[in-house]
Amino acid sequence: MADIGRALAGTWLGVGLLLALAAFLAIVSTTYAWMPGMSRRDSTAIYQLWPIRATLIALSLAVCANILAACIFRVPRRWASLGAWISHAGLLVLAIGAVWYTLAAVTNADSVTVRWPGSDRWTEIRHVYLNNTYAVYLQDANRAVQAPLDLGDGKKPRTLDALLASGSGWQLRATGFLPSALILPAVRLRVTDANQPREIALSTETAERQQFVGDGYRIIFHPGVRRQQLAMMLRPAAPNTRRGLPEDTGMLLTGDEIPPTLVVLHTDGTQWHGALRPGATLDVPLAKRTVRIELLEFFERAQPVPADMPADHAGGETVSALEAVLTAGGERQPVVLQFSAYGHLTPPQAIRLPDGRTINASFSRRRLDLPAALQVTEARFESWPGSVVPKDYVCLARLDGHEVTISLNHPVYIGPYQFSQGSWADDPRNPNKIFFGVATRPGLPVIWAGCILVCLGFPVAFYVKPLLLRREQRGDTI
Amino acid sequence: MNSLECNASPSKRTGTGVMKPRVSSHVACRLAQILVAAVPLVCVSASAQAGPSSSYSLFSSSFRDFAAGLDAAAVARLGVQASGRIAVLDTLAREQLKQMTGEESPEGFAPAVAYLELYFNAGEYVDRPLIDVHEKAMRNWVADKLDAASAAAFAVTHRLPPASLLDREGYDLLYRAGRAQPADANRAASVRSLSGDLPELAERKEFRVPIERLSVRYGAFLAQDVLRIVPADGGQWRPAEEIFGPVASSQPAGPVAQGWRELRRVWLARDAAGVNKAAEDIREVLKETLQIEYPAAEVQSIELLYNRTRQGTVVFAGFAIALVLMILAAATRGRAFRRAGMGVFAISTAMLASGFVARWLVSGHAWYLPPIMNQFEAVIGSALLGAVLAIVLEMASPRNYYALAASLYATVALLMGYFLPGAMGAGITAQHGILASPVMAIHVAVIIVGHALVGMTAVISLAYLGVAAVRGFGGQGAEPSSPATLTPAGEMTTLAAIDRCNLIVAQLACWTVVAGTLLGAYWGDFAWGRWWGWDPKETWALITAIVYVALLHARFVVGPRHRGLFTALVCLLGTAVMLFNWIVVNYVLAGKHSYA
Repeated sequence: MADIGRALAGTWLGVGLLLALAAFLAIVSTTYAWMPGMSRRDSTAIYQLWPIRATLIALSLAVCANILAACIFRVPRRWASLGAWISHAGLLVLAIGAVWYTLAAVTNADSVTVRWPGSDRWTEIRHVYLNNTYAVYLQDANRAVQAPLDLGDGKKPRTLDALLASGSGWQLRATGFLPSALILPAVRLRVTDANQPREIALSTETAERQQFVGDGYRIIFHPGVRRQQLAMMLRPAAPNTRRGLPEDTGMLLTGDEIPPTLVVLHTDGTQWHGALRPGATLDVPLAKRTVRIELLEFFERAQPVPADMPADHAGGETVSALEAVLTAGGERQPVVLQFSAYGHLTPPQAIRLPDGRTINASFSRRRLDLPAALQVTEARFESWPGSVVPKDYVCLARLDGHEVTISLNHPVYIGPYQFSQGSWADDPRNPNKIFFGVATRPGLPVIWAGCILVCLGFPVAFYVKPLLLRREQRGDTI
Repeated sequence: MNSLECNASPSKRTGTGVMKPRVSSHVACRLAQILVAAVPLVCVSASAQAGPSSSYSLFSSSFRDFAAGLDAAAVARLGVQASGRIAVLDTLAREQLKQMTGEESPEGFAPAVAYLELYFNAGEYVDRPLIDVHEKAMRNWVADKLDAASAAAFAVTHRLPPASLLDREGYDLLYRAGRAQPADANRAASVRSLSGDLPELAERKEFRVPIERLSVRYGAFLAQDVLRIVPADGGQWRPAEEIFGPVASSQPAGPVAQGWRELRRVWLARDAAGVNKAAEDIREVLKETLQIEYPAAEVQSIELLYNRTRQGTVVFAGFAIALVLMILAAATRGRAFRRAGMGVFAISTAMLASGFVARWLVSGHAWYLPPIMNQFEAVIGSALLGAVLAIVLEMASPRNYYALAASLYATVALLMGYFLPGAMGAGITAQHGILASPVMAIHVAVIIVGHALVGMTAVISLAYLGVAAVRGFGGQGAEPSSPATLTPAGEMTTLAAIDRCNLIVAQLACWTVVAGTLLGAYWGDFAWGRWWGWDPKETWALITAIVYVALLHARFVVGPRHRGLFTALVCLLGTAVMLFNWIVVNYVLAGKHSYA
């Protein structure tokens, strides 16, 4: 055992391990951009990859083992070696603190507060959002549930078999992840003209796909119309007042507030309209014939577009989304949940079950609850005169009845969480959204103790040691 | 303005207006400027600007006559807003002229005078050689495109007339700012326009960077929102184009704007006495308007002096002399050389320290925030701290090698600052609030001391290798008590002495790099919420520390015959790592410390 220990305490072994660690870090930190799935921006993210992390941990553990063995078997137990003892002990303490921190710390997290247009009040901060960790949040009348989702470090879907059961007769199973999706309202119709049925699908993806041109009529899909707009569009006259309309333009309207509605307007002032529910049919009377329109499906359609990360706006109109299957009462219903980085800021998606019940669903970064709410009362951007260079970002806030200030280099602490003002907002001069960097710092006192020991040990080893050696040679005792 | 700035330009022209070879005169001029700047009190009047203008010269003879009567110091001290602070016009003018023409004092004129002339009278200069084309590929391309007469001028000046780049939008900008008249465009009609060819040229990879740089220089000529001269609400100053444009000039304005309009009026009328009076009037009005904010006259003087010494980098000459003397002292063990070398070294260090303090004062940063926060400041600060440490080490243990190493390190650092001020960020700018922490300042100070020491180990290592190559490798342990390292007279051998110095500096380097890195971790915790994030800068600081820790451990087990050689080689490796961290990581790799 002692032989193994002495071998492990070898100075050359230690030097070799140190140089191997240095070489490994040098290679990783310069070649990361060429590694699979990495870009130039991922200079720190590279250390999250398991092969890199495993090698780093292995080398660090080997160095620590060498230091420990050296302390036990090699460094003489005399005052002249005090510096070596202090610095080696410091490194070991630092390593213990670092391991503790790595295993327990919440890092790479943030939080946000928003001031909605027209409001002078910032939203209360109750949550911390983790990066690269995602969850689905579901709520029905009885209970709320959440399920973490492993999206493979946010790059590609890896495990999407989360099964959520509320105990209320419905289940949701995630089936696919769309890193960047174009979420479009769409309809599928069956149009029967002259006894010739024909299925068409309309969406707003392109102008061509938004309309269907029939024989003497057009159907234009025009979603997003609010109730008030619809009311303005419809004439005061009673609906369907005239039978045998001239062949004209048909408009299919959909929106959150109104059911899909078919409106037919003509330049001579006549009009025709009717609500179009799924499965229902409407017979539109044209001059010489009747066109039957049946709404087969009205749904939000997600069209995949390649992208890297889950994002609210991965580019243009696209968002990341989760494909899922909702099972209720023996029926399966596909749903698409849009991603929202800060789930509490976006209204949840209402999903209607076949039996008429509604559940709220949202797909966002995983969030942790804060032990106390933070209410920002004032946000101030201070810049140097005539420059956009920030002098300070200052947030005045209330926390547990106390006034606190969060500014650059001056974080606040909410339970175990440190809120840092590391960045600011969308528009620094007139902010409507403020981000805080959030982290927990377990093991940090141990780390600082190790740092102090290391910093003390070096000068003792370099400059006090010769004095101690001289005294030892003179035979003095200390 | 100093005398050589004034005299340099006329002296390089013949009576026929044909320039002598530009390179030699340019070098002579530059050397003369350096020498004068190194002794800044030698400064006489600006009377010698007059001289015949050639077809290749930028400024007209009428302007030369006018400039001769100007009080250049009064113009240079005008307060403007630059990079988030109130600076003297001289500072802004030097930066902009350097961008535009490649020189801070084109044709020897005081920077502020030359800049205001180019600003007020831009229309007159659209067909003059003004915009520097620095890159060889770009020069060749331009020379092929120009007509014969312009090409001949370009071959001498390497400067393009702005008209060759100005498009409709550019002229509109000049008109709106009251800097040119529509007739100026007609006058420049003979100049071949290149603006249409540039987009196509930019498609070629080798021209992308040159064209980007050319557009920056052209932008300096357009000077949109560059010259901020009138204080306004909210700490912002109004740009000159809002004061002088045809529309703006007809509107009522406050006393500062009126002062500047008067200055421009008399400038265009070539009334030198009127300009001098208007400049003084503006200074008085600004002082009354701003009261506390306006820099004191002493600070302005310091800023002018600091600018004239190229941000203190001219002290490289002193360190270079000290280097030669210290090499002679080390080689001959002559006490006279040592005394002279240490004297020059100490004076140079004091001058560098003066420049450092001047920058601190001028920047207006808090007392606990020394100017060591960007690449230029860190490099210069590192040279200064290394020199101070070398003096302390030489006093504690006179070896010559500490001062020798610090001299070379400072010379190289200052030369970089002298020749690459733009790339290194020599301008004094407002500091990002995240850096305004005493812990951050201590962290950077300790780290740059570490970098200086690492650099010094490289010089000492080279000295070791040089001596070893001459005297033979082996038998160079550093233990002073070892008989193998002692001469018959009982003194340490040269190699042993060098190795001893190397060890001491390497130990200090190791300690400071480790301590500085850990201080950075402490700052990162409360500033960013994480003590360690594997940022490339952090990682490479760790690698540097590891190399030196490994070296100090390996010295225990490397045989005494090879210990010195091993130390020298690993120290060179450590320096390479440090330089990688300072240059490649800062400018190439992405990260929170990147300046790229």
